[in-house]
Amino acid sequence: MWIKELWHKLGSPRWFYQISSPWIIGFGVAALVLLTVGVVWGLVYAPQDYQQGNSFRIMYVHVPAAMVSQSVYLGMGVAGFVLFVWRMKLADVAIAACLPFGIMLTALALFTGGVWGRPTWGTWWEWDGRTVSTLVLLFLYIGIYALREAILDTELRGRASALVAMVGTINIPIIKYSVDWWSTLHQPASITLTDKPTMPPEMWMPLLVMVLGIYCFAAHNIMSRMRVEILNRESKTRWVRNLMVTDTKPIQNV
Amino acid sequence: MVPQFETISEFLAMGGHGLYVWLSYGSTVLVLAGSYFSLRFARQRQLEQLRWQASTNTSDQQQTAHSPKSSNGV
Repeated sequence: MWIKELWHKLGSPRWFYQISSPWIIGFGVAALVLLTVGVVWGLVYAPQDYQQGNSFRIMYVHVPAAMVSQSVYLGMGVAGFVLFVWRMKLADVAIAACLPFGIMLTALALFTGGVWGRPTWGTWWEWDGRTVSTLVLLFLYIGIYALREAILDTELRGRASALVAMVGTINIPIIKYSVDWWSTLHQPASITLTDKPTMPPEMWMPLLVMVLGIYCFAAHNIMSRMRVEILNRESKTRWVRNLMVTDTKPIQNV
Repeated sequence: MVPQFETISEFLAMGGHGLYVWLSYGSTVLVLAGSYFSLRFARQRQLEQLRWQASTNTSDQQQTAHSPKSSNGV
């Protein structure tokens, strides 16, 4: 059956290595364009907030970092599920590739949050629901990373990290609803799919561009890292050796 | 759309919030550039190594003193 064939293809690191290159270039170019446009728009053209003045421009980096750090974790949870149930090799590669960028992005969300909190709330750090659950997200990322470094057996390493990644996804709805469950300093979402935004378009449009830009950057970064992981794991195989002999293009990052 | 700032110094000052705005944007650029370049260097090192390995494995006759550096990335 073709579905089964596709499934087997999807699980093959070699197949991913062969098809991923144009996607990585595409996401990279899109990220560069979107982030450049978004930063200039957000820093120079977006109107000042009548209460926060110019410090609200931090939103354009803080919100995308926080959003994408959660999405990357969710993606890792899905990969964990696939690895756990079907033992798909590529899912293990994906988990490994999500970790470094996820850690950096979550740390960035916490840092920019603190920097934004200082002029807005009068404190660098506040133990409110969303801040704490984001800190838990960072610890989950670091925990899985440490777990993978500690376990030498590849089979066990994959299954253990897949399990923690899956269980940890419980934290994602907690982050999302933390602003509704506990009364906190964090404001509830300004933009939702169902309601009208509480911000004017001149303010939320650059945010949308930045969010898309960071998503593209994440896709670029994670897929590139998956390729490095794949070559590491398969360096002894015939197809990698053949590739290294025939493929003498100048070294690129794709 | 009009720029919100008249002069460069006004832009840099961000209405007194310059420190916070530039710390945030600076750290973001640092994280993104760091993620990009660290991966790029890792990839370069890896390809040099793998290509060197492949060249020594397949061309046993012409065993010259190849090293990842002197093979010029090919």
